[in-house]
This record gives sequence, C-alpha cells and structure tokens, in this order.
Amino acid sequence: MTEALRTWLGSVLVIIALIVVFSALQPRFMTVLNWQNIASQMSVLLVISIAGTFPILVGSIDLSVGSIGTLAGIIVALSLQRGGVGGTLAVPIGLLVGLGCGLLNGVLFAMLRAPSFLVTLGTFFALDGLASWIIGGTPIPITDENASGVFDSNLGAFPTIFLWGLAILAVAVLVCRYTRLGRHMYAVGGSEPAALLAGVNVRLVKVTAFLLSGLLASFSGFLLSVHTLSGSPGQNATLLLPSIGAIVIGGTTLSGGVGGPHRTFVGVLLLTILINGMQLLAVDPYLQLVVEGLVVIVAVIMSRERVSVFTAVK
Amino acid sequence: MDACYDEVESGSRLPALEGRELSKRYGATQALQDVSICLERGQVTALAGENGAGKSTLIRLLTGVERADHGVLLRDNVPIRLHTRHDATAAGIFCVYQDQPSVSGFEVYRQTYLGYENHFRRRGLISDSLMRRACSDLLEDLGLSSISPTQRMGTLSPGVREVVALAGVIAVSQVLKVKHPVILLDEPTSALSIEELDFLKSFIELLKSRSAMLFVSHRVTEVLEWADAVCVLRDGRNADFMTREMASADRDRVYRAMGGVHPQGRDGKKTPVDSEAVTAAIPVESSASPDRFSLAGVRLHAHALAFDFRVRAREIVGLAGVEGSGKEEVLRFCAGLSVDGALECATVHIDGRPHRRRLADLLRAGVVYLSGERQREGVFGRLSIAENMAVSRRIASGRQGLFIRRWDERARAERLVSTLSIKVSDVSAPLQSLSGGNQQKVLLGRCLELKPRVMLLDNVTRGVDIGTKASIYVLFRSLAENGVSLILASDDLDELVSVAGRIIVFKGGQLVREFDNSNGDVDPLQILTTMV
Repeated sequence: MTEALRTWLGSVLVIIALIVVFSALQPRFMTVLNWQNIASQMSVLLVISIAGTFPILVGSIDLSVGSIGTLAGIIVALSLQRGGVGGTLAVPIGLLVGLGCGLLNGVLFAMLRAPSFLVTLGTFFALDGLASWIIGGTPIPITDENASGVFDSNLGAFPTIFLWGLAILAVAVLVCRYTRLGRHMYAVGGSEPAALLAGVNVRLVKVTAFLLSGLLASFSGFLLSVHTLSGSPGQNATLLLPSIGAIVIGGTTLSGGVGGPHRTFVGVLLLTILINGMQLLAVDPYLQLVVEGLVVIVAVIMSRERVSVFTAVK
Repeated sequence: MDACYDEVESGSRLPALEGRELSKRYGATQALQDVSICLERGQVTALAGENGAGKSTLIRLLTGVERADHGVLLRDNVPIRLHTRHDATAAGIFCVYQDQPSVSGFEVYRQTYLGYENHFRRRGLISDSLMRRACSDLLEDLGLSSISPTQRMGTLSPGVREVVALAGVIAVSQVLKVKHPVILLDEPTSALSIEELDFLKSFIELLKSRSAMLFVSHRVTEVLEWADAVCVLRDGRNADFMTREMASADRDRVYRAMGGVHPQGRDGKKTPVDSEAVTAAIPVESSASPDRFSLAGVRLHAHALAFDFRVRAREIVGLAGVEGSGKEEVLRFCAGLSVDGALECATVHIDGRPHRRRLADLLRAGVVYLSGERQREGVFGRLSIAENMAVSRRIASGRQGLFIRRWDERARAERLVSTLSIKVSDVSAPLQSLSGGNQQKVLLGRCLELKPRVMLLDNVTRGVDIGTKASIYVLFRSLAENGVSLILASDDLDELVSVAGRIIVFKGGQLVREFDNSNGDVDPLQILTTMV
C-alpha cells in the first residue's frame, strides 16, 4: 500500500470516528438539516481545494487561489450590480478573470522558470490588493435573484451549491483519470526528467495546471459571493490554508505525482465535519484552530515520503 | 587478496588501512563479495575496474558512508568500526570525490576549515584571521602559494578546487592531530585538463610520504603511471593485485583483470523472451535507403573533430568509451536532446527524409531513446506498469484523442508483459514495486509501444541480472531482424561484442575507432586499448 493511499484510508477512518463521536455527544449532529448544512459549508472549500490540487499534482503550488477567488467574486458582484450585458455574462466574465490569472501564474512559472511558490506568493498579494482597490474596500452587495436561485438554493433535499461542487469534482476526476492531460500531470509531478524524455510537453502541462487552478479558483470565489450575497475584500483569502490542509489530508503529496481531486474530496469532508462538529459542541473558536492545525500536522506526518534504501545501485 | 596478505605478514610494510573480506548486498544485487584491500603508508594504491565492478561500494564502506554486511576494517592494525562519515574522519580516513561539493560563496580558508571552526577561537569567539593565517601557512607548506586563502571557491577551476579539497584533508588531519591520514580519491582525474593532471600528480607525490592513498580510475595509463600498486575489482570481487613492476612488465594483465570474460559468454542460449510475439509486434520493414538514421557533422564540443553518424536498418551498433568519452552524449544528441557544448546540427535524416533534431519530432518518426539513468529519467515509480508503458504512445502516433481508454491500455500492457515475460501479477501495480530488471523491461515495453524504427539505448542492461540480460539480447536480435536499427551505448564490452555488428569507440568527445564485428570476432581487449 502506498503512503498516499494509507493517508487516504486513514482519513476515511477518521471521518467515521468523527461522525460516531459527534453523534454521541450532540444529538443535533445527525440530522438532515445539519448534513445539509455540512454539504453547503464544504462546497466552496471543495472547489478551491480542487483548484489547488492541479498545481500540486504537477509538483508546484498555487498560493494565489484565494486571491483569484476574491477578485473573481468581486468582479461578478460588480457586473451583476451594473446589470445589462455585463449582468447576463457576469459568470463567464468572472471565469475569464480566473483563467487570465492562471495564465499569468503559469507563464511566470513555466516559461520564465520562476519558482511557483514565489510567483504565486507575489500574485497572492497583488491580486488581493487589486480586488480591494477596484471596489475601494467596501463590499458590493448581490441582489440578483437568478444567481441565488441557480447557485444557492435547494434542489430537493440537496443544496444546489453542493451539487455544483460535486459537478466540478466529477469533471476534475474525469480529467485526471481519463484524459491524456491528466495522465501527463501525474507524469510531470512524478518525474519531470522522465516525462520530458517520454515526449511530454512539460511546460504546456504545467501552464494548463495553473489555468485549471485559476478557473476553478474563480468559480469558488463566485460561489462564495453568491452564498454570502456580496463581493467582499479578502473573502477567499482565509480559505487558502484550509484548502492546502484538505489536499494534504486527502493524500495528495506536495512532492507531486500522487493523489488527485477524488482524494481531496475526502480531505475537505474531514475538515468540514470536524469544524461543524466543534461548532455544534460550542468549542471555543480559537481552540478550533488549534485542533485543525494539529490534524493537518498528523496528516503530513502520515504521508511523508519514505525513501527506499534498496534503489538500484550501479 | 592473498598477495596482499603475504607481503603484509612479511613485516616490511606499514598497513595504514586494511579491509578484509568485505561483502555488501543491496537488495538482489551482491555489490561486493569477500573483497580485501590493503593500503600502506607511503604508497599510492590504484583501484581499477569497470563500471559496476564495486569500486564505489568499496569506497563507501571504507569511509563509513555504509557498513559492510561481513568483513573487518583495520586501521594501523587495530580493528575499527565506522558507523558514519564522522567516524571515518575521526579515524583519519578522508575521501575526496571527483566533484567534491564546496560552498561556492565561501573563501578557500572557510571551506578548508568548515566544520572545524571551533579549533580557531580567540576569547571564545571564532576568529577568521586565525583561520586565514593557518590556511595560508598550510598552502605555503604544500607549495600552493599560488592559491590565495581569500579566493572564493566558486571562482576556482575544477582542478584547483580538487587540489584545495586535498589540501583540506591535510588541514583537517593537522587540526585533528592525525599523523598519517588515509586519503581516498574517487576518480580524481576525470574532470581535469592536462596541466591540472600534472599538478595533481606532483601534489600526490608530495603527500605520499605522510599518508596512505587510494585512487579510483578507469584510465589504465594513469593507473600505471601514478600507482605503486594496483588492485583490480571485477563483478564485486578481487580480480587481481599487482605491484607497479608487475603491471609495467605485463601491461595486458590489468586489462585482462578488468575485462575478464563475462560468465554468460556470447551466446544468449535459452531465453524467456517470446521472439515470435516480438516479430508480430513490430512490422517487418524493407527500406530502399541504405541509411536508416544519419547525422552529419556532429561536434560534441568546440575543440572536438566533427564526425558523421550513420546507421543502417537491421543494424545493431555498439558505442564504447570510458566515462566522459561522449558516448552517452552522442545518444542524447541523436535523440534530439540538447547536449551542453555540442554544436548544433539541425537535421537528422531518417530513411533519407530530413527531420528536425527535436525530441518530439524524432519520437514521431520512430526514434526512441532510453536513458541510462533509469530511476531519474525513465521510471514513473508511482504510476502503474500499464500507465508507464502507455505514456508516450499517443504522443508518437499523433493521435491525440481526448480520453484515455484504460481497459485498452490494460490489455496492451498485459500483452507486452507476456511478450517480454515480465514477472508481474497485475499491470496496475505501481512500477516501483518491481525489481530493477523488470522495471527495465517495462521501459523497453514503452519503446516497443511506439513501433520504433531506431532505438537509442543507454546502458540498458546496467544493474540487470544475468538471466534478464540474456533475454534482452534475444529481444535486440529479433528487433533487428524485423528491421529496427539499434544503437547501444554500453560500459560492458562483452555485451557489445556479443550483440553489436559494429562497434564505435569514443574518446574525449571524438570518434576514434570503428570495429567491424559482423563475424563476432572482435576481442574486448582490443576495444579496451583504444578506449583508454
């Protein structure tokens, strides 16, 4: 069994344990209403974590997913507020913004060969600042009924925001497992020199990973804006670290080439249930952060690389 | 080594470091088997042997980087145990590697005393000026006043850096008060220019009286010129031990010891590869053009002579040469990769048609390359066997459908696994779960998936067990019969003479000699003498 799979299985077991413990301690936990709540709570984190999974798969990292989300959310809110053609096309415009940011990251990283950690640290600050500057620091309310109806209502028992999250997950899993692009992302993350010699267009794969990351990050920002009914400065920034935590808990290693969106889903579920349960048990919010941090550390220790001594010796 | 023991017991020598019957095993590979070696004070011993003979493993055992499974080490006739590199240093055993790492921003004196700063304190604080003075005294003492203690390591040439590393050994042994250090030099000469070589040689002469030295080399001429004694390893065992007089009297003795005839011999005999299935996998081709693959005017570096490189269909060509000879670079160049310093020649002719010398273009034209650095440049350890085999196929075929058909991939992989008789139960297992030999077969499977016309293979049987080797040779022959051209770079001369119809020898980035081996009658010794 690989380290990553062990982490994933461990996470599933932890989820079951959490459900058992929270159900025992708090009768309100195991109710339809609360599970709808969990589904709704996890959706934005799910989409932003899937976004971040692609760059990590190719062995890089995108720290700007939160800022891209904020910028896109604000631009969508502005477009809806202005109305007209911009209002109708608000969502495509937001997604285009995300693609543009992803392209910027990808070009800086893959073409100019700057380390992704530093490039996206830069765009993290720059895009966040840009977003606040555009709206002068004041949140833009969203009053559009259609947007809320499509993205944040209920379809039967399911919150539509969750269904959108699941749809994104399904497409992401499809891309990773059944397309050439997905395969090449695993190859580049697994061994870049080997991928190069196998004929993989390494740069293109890297840029595409960042494009996907930007696209999905902007979608997560839009979902959050619709959910909170406003485009606010810094709205997605607080999701960056939980999303990296969720990716690692799921079993996508930061060294690249292992894991994928299906695993990230498990990580997001675990974190969300943990937070939800602690909220229901009225755990002090500061203490909640401590617990979340500890969970991430344990996950990292479980998934750490073990280098085999018995590699080929010439 | 009996000869070694006899002379020690005669009492006329001073053994500084001795290893007795050292054995070391890595997984399935027996890297060393009962190897003994004895280094004497005031002597330079050369350690010779082909790649894979066990030289590096022996060095690792002598320097505490790894521990032997069996055997003992004696320092000045006292048994010692080395658990770490530090233990070795404390015992006065030092190693200088061929490309000794150094901190390029550090001055010579800081590099020299790195890790020993505590010996240079004034009022409790480390004193740079004390260190600088000690370093400059030392350099003068060693006749190296041309090197300034305040030069930065990064500004020095590789040869000077190596000399500084050697001086550093003396410096540290002074600091630790080791009277007679043991100095191991791991291929000290491979990166040096001729002037630097002379300098290094005189430096070694200078240090000889106060230390025991071992140096590793493939170059036989060097071995005979520099060393007082030669210890030859082959296939992880002692092959021969001789004094300089014995070696000079019978020069061929060293060659013979290094390149003794491989146990497998030159007939592949019974093999597990299903050659008929290979025939079915590769369409038989008949080509009008005499050359399958040709490159004109290749120059690996600015000072090298240009050469043309042509290979016919159905031909197996072997490339021979010592490390640094350029044979691996020729392969990479042919595969369309960029080679440092090589002068660009843009077009490759395949079956008479020109192609751009670019990896992706050549891959589409059926030129496949398998790197000698299997772990780094070939294997995707965590991807499955099936995925590893399929990774290049779509790129080469130009059919770039959006979706992967995983069941199809599986079925193809299973066919290849049985064709190549790879020992595996499930093609969805990660590649890293297989042994080295089977991993190599999977990579060969990846090449076959591309319907190759030209295969460029770098040391394809390195680290592969004998049985698998034999089956790989049979695969090569049946591929050639089916019209594929194979170009093999190999350090194993027995392999080349038994498989290749033509053997090209490289030296210093140039083509020096070509042997016609169509009758299989070329002697490996003949090749070896042109290589060194």
